[in-house]
Amino acid sequence: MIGLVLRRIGWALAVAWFVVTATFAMLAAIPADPAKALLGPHADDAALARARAHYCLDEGVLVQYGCWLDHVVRGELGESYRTKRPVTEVLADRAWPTAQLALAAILLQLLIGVPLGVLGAVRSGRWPARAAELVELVAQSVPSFVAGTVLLYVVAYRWGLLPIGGYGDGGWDRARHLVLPAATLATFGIASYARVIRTELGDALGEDYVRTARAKGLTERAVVLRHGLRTSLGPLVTLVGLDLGVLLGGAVVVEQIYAWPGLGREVLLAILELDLPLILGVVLVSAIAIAAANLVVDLLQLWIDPRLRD
Amino acid sequence: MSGGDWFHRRVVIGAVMVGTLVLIAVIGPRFTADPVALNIDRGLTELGAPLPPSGDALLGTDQLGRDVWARIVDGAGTSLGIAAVATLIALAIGLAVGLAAGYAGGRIDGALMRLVDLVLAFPVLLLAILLAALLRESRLAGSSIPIVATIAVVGWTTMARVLRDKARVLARGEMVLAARAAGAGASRIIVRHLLPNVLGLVAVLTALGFAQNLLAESVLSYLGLGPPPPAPTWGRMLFEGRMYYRTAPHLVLAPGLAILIAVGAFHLLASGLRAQLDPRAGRGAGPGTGEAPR
Repeated sequence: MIGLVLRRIGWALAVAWFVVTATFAMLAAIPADPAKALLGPHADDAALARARAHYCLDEGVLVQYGCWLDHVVRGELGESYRTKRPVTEVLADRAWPTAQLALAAILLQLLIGVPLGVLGAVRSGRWPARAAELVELVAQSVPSFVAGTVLLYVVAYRWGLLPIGGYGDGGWDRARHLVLPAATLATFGIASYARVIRTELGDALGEDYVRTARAKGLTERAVVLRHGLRTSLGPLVTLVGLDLGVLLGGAVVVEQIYAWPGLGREVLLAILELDLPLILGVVLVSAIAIAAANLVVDLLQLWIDPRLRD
Repeated sequence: MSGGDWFHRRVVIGAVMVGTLVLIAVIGPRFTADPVALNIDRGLTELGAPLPPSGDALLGTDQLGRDVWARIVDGAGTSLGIAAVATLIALAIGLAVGLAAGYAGGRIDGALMRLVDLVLAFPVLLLAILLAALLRESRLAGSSIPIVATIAVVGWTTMARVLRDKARVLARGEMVLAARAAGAGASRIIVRHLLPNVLGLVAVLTALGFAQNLLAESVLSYLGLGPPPPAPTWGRMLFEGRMYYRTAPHLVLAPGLAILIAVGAFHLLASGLRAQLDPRAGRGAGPGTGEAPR
């Protein structure tokens, strides 16, 4: 058991190392001068020389690689040339808004997706299930920028119910600003949660232990909630964990639509000016978030399902 | 069985929708106005605003007086083309890796599946952004190659994983045992015995891949990482029109609905195909797994 846990941790570290190495390889593989690529077309000679020294660009590839590893491990990701601030500082500023958005979206996915999936499984073949399936199909097929713009137009602009965009000032105002971006971000996840619950619960309801539960006189409600949904827990934990990893890296499109000051919006601003240090920083942070989330999911699964332990 | 009819209907509805889309993309441009022609004189109101839908321009005009319907039709070709090439590349890699890993098992299987995990560790959208940023200085910038490459590089992984699981089961079966006993080599078994047995799955994965790649393409275009202007793509049309969403909602709704319908058609086809392949899964199986860029 301990060996298994250590192996999972080792694998997560290997993934993190791979991401750091791959970003270095991409940077080394571009035909242009990396210093120019990192600093942009308007950098002066002094800045270029500083970057060359910082990333050891005048040395051999191996030394450059060692340099890169060293900087990343120590959290020195260079300076964003758009804002002239250290990348780590910018990332730290933007992480909390993104985290709030990610948590709110996952909460919505659970609150809407799970009941939708239960409806689809319990009323299988009848019209409520068909309706749930249609909602799923649309939610899975609509890109976030379409859903976002439509919600913005209808709810915020036409009906004036919620603010058009921005971060709000704490407390209630923040919550009001959070609703639309979180709902937009959750659209796709609602569909995938609903699908997983529908198939897992549908399978479980055909099992013998569910028939036994029914035979001993439990209400249908108790059968579904206490016995049927139990098998869905594992897959649901996996989905939540993976979503957490992906969403903590920033939601580029949604943050852009609603002017939400998170990592995603920062990355988009960085693309416009090809602010490479910042883009690299966000890629590293989100890849490591994904690796960490995968690790947590793996360990949780071992805890939930003892059969996986051998 | 009434349920069976419904699954069958899904395939038919999806296939008809996909067929119509392809038809529109291929022969549509002959019957529409020039999608890139600026029409400042007649395409805008006196105040310079886009025209709403009317008899002249079916879906109205955009902020430069260009015909929105013509741009939607022209964009269909671009979007479907990019999705098609990316899906085919992803499928080729996914088939090769999946079947090889599933047949070989052991170390090779472990190594290839770890590779899949590694690629999946990268956030899709950020990988695309990074590639586009890195390629801006090269000659590839301004073509569709970066976007196709990005979508394909990420897309093969889920296909490989699914095909590997299926091939693993087949490789342990009696059919493969018999073939091996008869003296068939690895490549012959993979091509002659495994491949024909995964074709149904390949059909499902292709439809699903199309849906996901259309989504990915539209999001990347929306972020300005798609094919260069003035050639219209649905994602960029929406991006360019989004500033006018209050005064001219058709600039957002037209490309938005186009994407929704196209992606939905492929999802419908995929879920119907899967239900036919595995009737047991039919009860539930909706659109497939995978991560869409958000």
